[in-house]
Amino acid sequence: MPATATQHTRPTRTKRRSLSAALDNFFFVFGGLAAVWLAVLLASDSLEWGWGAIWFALAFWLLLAYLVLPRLHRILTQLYVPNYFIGRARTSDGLLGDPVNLALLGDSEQLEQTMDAAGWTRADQVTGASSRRIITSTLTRQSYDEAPVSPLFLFGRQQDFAYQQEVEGNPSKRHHVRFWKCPEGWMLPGGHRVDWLAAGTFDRAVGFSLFTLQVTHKIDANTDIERDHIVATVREAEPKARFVVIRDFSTGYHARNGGGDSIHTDGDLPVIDLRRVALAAGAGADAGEAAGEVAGDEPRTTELRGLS
Amino acid sequence: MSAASGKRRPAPTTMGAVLMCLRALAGVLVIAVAFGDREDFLNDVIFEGAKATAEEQAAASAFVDVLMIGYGAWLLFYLVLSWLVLRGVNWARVAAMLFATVSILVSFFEWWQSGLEITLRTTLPSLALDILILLALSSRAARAFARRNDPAPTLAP
Repeated sequence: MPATATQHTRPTRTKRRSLSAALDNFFFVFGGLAAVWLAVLLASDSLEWGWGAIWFALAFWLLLAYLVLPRLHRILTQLYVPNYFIGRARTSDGLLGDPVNLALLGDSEQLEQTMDAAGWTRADQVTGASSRRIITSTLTRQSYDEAPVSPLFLFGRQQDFAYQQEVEGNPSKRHHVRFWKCPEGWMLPGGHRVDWLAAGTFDRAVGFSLFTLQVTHKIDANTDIERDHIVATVREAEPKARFVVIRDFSTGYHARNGGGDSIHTDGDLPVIDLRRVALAAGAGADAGEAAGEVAGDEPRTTELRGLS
Repeated sequence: MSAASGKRRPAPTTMGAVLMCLRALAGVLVIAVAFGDREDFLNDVIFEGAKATAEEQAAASAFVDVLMIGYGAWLLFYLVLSWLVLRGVNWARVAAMLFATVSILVSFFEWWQSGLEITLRTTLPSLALDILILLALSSRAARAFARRNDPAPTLAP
């Protein structure tokens, strides 16, 4: 916008935008309330329908789990869940999700190459086609090792990508880890600069979410096992990777994730440094030469502890 | 919400537009009944079973004609609106939500005053459609898509 026009138009523009934002918020909340009313109507009506009630119950659950409860959570979490970094990702409904339990340094090519080498498969994006494939592979009990993962949010953004490992061709169990690129110049609490944050958890079964009643994966409560599994696979596959473990990055805690599954962690945060990883393309010989080599006598893992 | 996420049409926007078409289709059915089976329609809706003279019948028939033509024009407008919603035009989305809200409020007060009775055979389908339209179009994804060309909100200094 030209500088001269700015002064003149800004007041009306801002006013119009805040009015339309207020309207949007009103519709958002009113839609939620109306949906609650619809659920009440459906529930009271289903009592009069005998056998048809089964279909009503199904419609009632679909309405409640996929429209009403997410909308209510969205409204409430907007109010009470802090929007700054607290070491937790958030679900699309704003609920606190999986713990952020891994950080990385390096660019996306180094990260992708390392994860591939460490035996991880990149997850597909959620699309119509991939959703259909999940359903058919579940029904026919075929494996789908690039199955997408649900979106979780950090820095107000969905994960940039996710990696996973299948377990014995069982679609309800899998290792998976989501990655978010940190904003430029962003630092962890305590002043550590990292390029990526990641949340790794192990899906152990399919079940119902405690908060929204949606069908979802249940995760294993001990998220440290999955975190250490990811670190171990990378350590084995990439000799040039370095590790810094920030001990007691967060206090050890028990909590629940966005599906209501309990989680507990010791609060350590491993930082995987991939900045020295040579890219395979154009550096094939380099990679062989690098294998097993340690730059100087520097230890592979450094521990950081608080001073007191 | 990043700019990139608003570029592709999200499912809630498509869903909202499709539901709006369904809502219009339900209206077309009413018009079809009003013109196709005039006598029954007059008896059921206007006279509600009461006896009427031929004169009254003719007047009521003319009234229904005007009413249905008006309703048809409204449905046409509503269909155009649903197309604009699909295209991601923000004012169309806001207008559609406004209509849904008014319709829901009218149903709500009727329900409240008439001893809290709404049954499926009467108004529940259209009410459910209105509520689903409102839910879909007020979702964050639909909002971001309709406002994808807005300048990014400037942060307060």
